[in-house]
Amino acid sequence: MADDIRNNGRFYNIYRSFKKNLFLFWTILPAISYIGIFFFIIAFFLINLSLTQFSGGQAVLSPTLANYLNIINSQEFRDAFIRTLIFVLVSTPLQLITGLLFAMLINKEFKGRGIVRSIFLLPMAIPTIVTTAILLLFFSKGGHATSLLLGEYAWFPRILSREISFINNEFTAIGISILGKVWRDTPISMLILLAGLQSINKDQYEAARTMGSGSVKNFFYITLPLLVPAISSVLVLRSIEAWKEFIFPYILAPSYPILGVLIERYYVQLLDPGTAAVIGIFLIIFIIIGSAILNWLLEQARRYLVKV
Amino acid sequence: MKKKLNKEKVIWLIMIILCMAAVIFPIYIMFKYSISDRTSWITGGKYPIPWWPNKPTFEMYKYYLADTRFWGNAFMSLQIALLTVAICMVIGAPAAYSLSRFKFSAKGVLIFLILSIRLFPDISSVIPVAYTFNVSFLYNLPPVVKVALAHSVLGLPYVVYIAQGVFETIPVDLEEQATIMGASKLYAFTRIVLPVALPGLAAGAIYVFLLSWNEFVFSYFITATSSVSIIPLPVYLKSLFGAFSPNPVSVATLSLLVSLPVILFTFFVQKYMISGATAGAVK
Amino acid sequence: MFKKVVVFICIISIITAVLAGCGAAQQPKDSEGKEGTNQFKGKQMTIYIRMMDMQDKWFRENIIAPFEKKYGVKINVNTFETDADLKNILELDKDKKTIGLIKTPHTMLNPLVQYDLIASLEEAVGDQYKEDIKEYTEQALQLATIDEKLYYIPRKLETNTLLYLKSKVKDAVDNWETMREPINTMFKNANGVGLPTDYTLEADPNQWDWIDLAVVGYYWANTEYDGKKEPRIAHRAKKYEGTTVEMITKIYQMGGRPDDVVKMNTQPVKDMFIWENFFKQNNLYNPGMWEEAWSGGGIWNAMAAGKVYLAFMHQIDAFFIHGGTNPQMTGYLTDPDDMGVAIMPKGVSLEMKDGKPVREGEHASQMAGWWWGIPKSSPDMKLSYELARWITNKENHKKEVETFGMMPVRKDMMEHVSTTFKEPWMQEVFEVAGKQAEAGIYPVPQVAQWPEISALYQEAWYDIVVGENNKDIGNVLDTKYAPKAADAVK
Repeated sequence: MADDIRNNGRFYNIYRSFKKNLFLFWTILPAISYIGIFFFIIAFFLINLSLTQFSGGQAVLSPTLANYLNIINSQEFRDAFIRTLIFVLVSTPLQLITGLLFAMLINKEFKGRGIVRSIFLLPMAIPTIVTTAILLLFFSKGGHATSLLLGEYAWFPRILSREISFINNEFTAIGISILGKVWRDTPISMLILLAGLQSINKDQYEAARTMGSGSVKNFFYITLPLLVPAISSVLVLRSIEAWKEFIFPYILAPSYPILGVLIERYYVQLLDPGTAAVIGIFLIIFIIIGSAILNWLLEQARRYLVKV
Repeated sequence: MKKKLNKEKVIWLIMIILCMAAVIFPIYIMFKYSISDRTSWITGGKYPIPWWPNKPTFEMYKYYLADTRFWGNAFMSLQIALLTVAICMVIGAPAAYSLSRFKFSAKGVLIFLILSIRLFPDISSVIPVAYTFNVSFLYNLPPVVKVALAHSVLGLPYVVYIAQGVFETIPVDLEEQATIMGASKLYAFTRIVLPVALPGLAAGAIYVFLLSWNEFVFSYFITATSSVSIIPLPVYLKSLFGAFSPNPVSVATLSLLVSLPVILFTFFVQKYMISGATAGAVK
Repeated sequence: MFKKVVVFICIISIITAVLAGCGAAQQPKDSEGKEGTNQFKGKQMTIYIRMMDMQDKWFRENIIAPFEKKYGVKINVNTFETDADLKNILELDKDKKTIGLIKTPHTMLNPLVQYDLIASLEEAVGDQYKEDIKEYTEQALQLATIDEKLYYIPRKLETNTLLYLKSKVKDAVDNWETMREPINTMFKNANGVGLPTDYTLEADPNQWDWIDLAVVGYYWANTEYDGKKEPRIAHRAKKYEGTTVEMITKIYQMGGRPDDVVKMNTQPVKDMFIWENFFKQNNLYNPGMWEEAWSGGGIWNAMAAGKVYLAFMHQIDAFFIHGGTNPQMTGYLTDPDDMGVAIMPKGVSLEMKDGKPVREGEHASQMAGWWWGIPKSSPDMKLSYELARWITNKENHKKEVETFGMMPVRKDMMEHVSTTFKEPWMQEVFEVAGKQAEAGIYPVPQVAQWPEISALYQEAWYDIVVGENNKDIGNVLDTKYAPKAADAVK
């Protein structure tokens, strides 16, 4: 580079950098402007709506902070927030664990690996709406799940004395939503972690083995530290998706809305886009705060691991 | 030593079987319901629903496969998905290339901007997006194009993210040599980098395809309000499930029919999906 | 290998993109220009419907396709999502002029005429209609007449009737006496009196009132069937219009009329909520109703699982539950012949004096239905009229009625149920529908704010019945819901 600058004149240099930037400009512009336009439309709409009060589907007052105040004081919102938090705190680590398990299982050369890998990827191919429909069939009253727990199948013990409704119980409803979410999204975590595993040099394991370390030790002292970048990716990306989750709890836990479901309820059912927008804005804030905390935690963990 | 190894292998085998069972189980339930005969789901409470139909039947498949609306909707979904892939790749790949190759000050901001659109909850952003398509001058676009454009908003960040990683794994030497020999940036990009990057980019394309094929919220808000007779498959499913709660056999059959093409598709392309993850996701 | 895949995907993408673009560009061309030589030849129009999936398919194949063939026209069949969409659809079409016929639910009959979107039949075809409409039943024409002008061609009527399992009702009738004591206590706890003096349970559900219903419900809920004890009566409780209709029928049975429904705190409304609360508190309603938000379909599935023995169903529900000729209508009962239908029970007050209920109502139900409206922007009103008549001509109407259990709108069919339909169960469904019509059927209130009132009823039901805000039901209605309802209709 230094040679170039010395050899060419100043003018030519500017011309070159312009030409270079022109290519840059034309390649990046479409993507940036496409995303940018929608970014601003969405942001403008959300802020605008959040400052407008609606009654019976009609805008009655603007600008006003009434929606914000109503939401902050609303018990419904707080409940939904706590549910969302639980959803995020349970489903994200769970996806990490299942993803890691799947990834480690197939990070091995064996016959039929391609087929096993394809099977592990299957949940991604099933549309979410289908997954919810199947879970609903399975867990609704008179379905397999309740019959199983009532001991109607000879090979399974009777656990419940009365039939329960899975979707009308806060614990089970959120539980099956998390189950669905984890089932559906495990392949994504698996792929990221598999990529991380494949980039780990095999020699390190060899070295460890000659020093007599077992596979459990290997996992904690070699695999896990080297996987930190991949694990961070999984946690950050999956937690954002978990915050935003809508369709699973919408179908499987309609009586116990999380924030995403609450947005739909206000927007579609209660015809109050103002409040819906406020919840959306709060949700984005939570996502940003949540990701920041997560990043900080991961940074601490990384430092700790480096020390060790 | 040898004994220990075997024990590990057995545990591994058991785990892999358990995991496969966990993945396949819901799909099995769907399949089981779809081939159920009357007595296998109308129990009258006299016995629990059997785990395998008393008399398996493919009647419902015959019914839906002979239904022209199903095919029309499926074709529309396919069109949308492919169009989305095309838009995302044409716009996204060059941008990703530039972002990976050039060092300039605004780069971080640009990447953040492109990715930050994913911070909006779908259910919040769908309202403005659907409004844009249904009220502005874009109203007269055919529904396929409208939905594909909306899906591109979702898919583009993924493509840029994955593709950028793919390009970064390609050594710069090749292009530098080409430029030194007088080739333009465009030439270097299209003739030298692109061919090498294709498998990685294919992964991006596959993700976007799956995303579009499975996407429900945007498709629903855009097509449901414009009263068109052909709608994307997920929306069709939702309208059937939601409005009239049909019997479980219909639900399962339609679900399986919608999933089947994608399941087969994944079997064929799984290799590329993994290469994409390797390139894109871990940095 | 991968290169090929990618190239292939790209090519396909581009081709589809081009196709999608061209397809859209070409469509309008087809609809223009072709002026036929025959009266209708080559004409094209769009109709809007909303039907259950399988009925939708059947309708296109068996009604529309033959019409297209016979008249040499092209009919596009589109589907609308909600009742409120109809107005938007018609207004957007004002300039385009493509929609020829629109399937209108009873709630939208008045509004669409008020918005000046529907042509009266006189405007559409002149005097010709006057002879034709004699074929339709009076009830069907009554709602279609607005300001003494006829605007709509009837499509179907429907009314809720009682649907039950014959074997289970027989069991209850034969054995309920064994539980007379606890049943009496249940009533005594609610009204201080107990059962009416000399109470007996009639064997024929057509003669039942609400007390009989509660007695049967108690017997079922406390008798073990197939190893399980659970309440076996249900009605719709999903938050949608169908649930409001369940409540309205009960208000009508208590002697209320559409005005009472809108006011929301007159005696019949209060009686309805008091009974609903009674049924829920005494565990006579299957909790799946609200726990899993059953719609009509939810109840069918519950009947298939043997959870529900009695519900309030439309004729079309009865067809689906029984099962029919369509390959998808497999039915929902282990033994279809066990299905029985009867007119709705008579409303009586829970409050009693001198050994009998203080207030008595009638065996009433709600009247709903669908009509065909010809938009003012129809591309050819005569063709629209011709199609609506085609759909309801004797042959086609009979085919559709037999397949999907709509209550016929043609006089000749309703007057001769037993000769028109071969199957005994079908005869029973329509005979009972006819009897129900004689016993009294009334439409939902024809007010523009109906959706809001309807939502208010669902809210009140969940609040009072499920949420147990039941200390003083009359007061809750007076202070909380009646003012809201009054606000809504202002």
